[in-house]
Amino acid sequence: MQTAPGEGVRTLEFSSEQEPHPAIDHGEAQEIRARYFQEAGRVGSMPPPVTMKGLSKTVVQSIKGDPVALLLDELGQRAAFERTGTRLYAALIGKVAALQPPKAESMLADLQMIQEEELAHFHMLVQVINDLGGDPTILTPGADVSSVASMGLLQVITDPRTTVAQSLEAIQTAELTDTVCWEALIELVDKLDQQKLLAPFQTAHAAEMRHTDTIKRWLQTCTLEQV
Amino acid sequence: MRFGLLEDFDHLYRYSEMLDRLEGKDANNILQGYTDIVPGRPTTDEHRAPEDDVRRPYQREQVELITKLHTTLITAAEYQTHDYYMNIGPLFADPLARQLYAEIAAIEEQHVTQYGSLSDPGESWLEKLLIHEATEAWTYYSCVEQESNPRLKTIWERFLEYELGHVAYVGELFKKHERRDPAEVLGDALPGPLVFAPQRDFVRDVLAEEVDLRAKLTDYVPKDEESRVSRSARKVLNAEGSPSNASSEGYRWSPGTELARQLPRPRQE
Repeated sequence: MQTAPGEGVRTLEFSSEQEPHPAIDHGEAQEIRARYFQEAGRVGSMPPPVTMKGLSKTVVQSIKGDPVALLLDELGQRAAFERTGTRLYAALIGKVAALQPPKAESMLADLQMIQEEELAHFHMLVQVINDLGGDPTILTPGADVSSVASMGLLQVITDPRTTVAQSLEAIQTAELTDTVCWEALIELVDKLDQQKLLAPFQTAHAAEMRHTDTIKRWLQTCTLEQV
Repeated sequence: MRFGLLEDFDHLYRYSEMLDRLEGKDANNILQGYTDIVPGRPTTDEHRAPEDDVRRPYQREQVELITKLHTTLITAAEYQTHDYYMNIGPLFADPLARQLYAEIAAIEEQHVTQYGSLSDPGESWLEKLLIHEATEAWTYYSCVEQESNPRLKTIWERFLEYELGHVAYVGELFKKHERRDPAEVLGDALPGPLVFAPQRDFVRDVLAEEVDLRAKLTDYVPKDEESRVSRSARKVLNAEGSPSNASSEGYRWSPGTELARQLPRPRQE
């Protein structure tokens, strides 16, 4: 409004002359959306595992499809997230290398280390899914939804016009999500009595917490550099 | 052209509302005060029977070149808008946004018919091609004349040159195959450029005087004389409500979105 004060005021005046505005009421719109919410199916579905070889007694005993499908969906989601995360870091590393912000070398070393860990997490999850008799190449419903949620992050990081600080903020969104999702996954495998998964998953979670700290530090550095 | 103006003007209002209520964004960040954001001829009233979308064509030997350029340009714009809505609408997850795009796309299809039917069907295909190429050249020329950004201006200049090359090439085809002189269609100079400037006052005048016009066969008539078939077609299309009405219920544009308006603003005397 302040860049076009004269014309902006005319737009506002004419808008204000229209029918008086009742309280903001989205009644009919809400009804239409509510019908869709009630009638819609879910995003995707899980194929049944090929074998049950890796599942614990608890899971096999309770097998009605749900716990198995839930676990494999969650594992598939994390695997996809780590895989996309590896690509996000590749894009960010390319940007930092090209723009050479202050302390670029040190930042690049940190980013490369994180990228390697994201890739290692992906490989570990593929192994776990294979061991459980699942198919690590499928896009599970959870993976599908989280990839939609991450679309904006990729758009920010790969946009040639965005700064390193803006890109770090975007990747931090992914790191924070990843950290809490690992926590939830650890609780799930514990509940499903998949004890042998606890140790590697806790190690991955600890790594993700380090990542958020590292990114936070670089984000602060980059932001303060601009002052 | 004024008839479609009020309909697309209404679409601007409906999309501004969707941008605000769905995404929490202010349309004026794009529009920058160049236009009003108020209802036009309501989208819900724009649905017509097909026979009421066809207009009388211009007579190719009796009109100026500028009329042919306008017709080609607006028809192309309507095609593009229709294609855009049909492609982009389904990318939304929100059901109401999808419905809104679908509803407005249906109107754009009517506009394609309306403006496409203004061209003289007696023009040969090569004559139409020549006018198309001239329209492209004229539009780029208008951009070149008014572009203040030097980087973009060079792009418009380059494309103007391409299009002038096409005009010359089609002109040769016209001579060879139809044994006619391109100047018979194009004259010897392009008309003055299309003016890219705010048209607020013009639009307000048209809105005040013509919002209640409707179409009946090839004519524009007062609302109460609208054709029975169009009223009946609209009744069928709107039988289960209208996405444009449902989404913009009570919407009035305010700077910084409607959420920034703390209290109803008293009308200033």
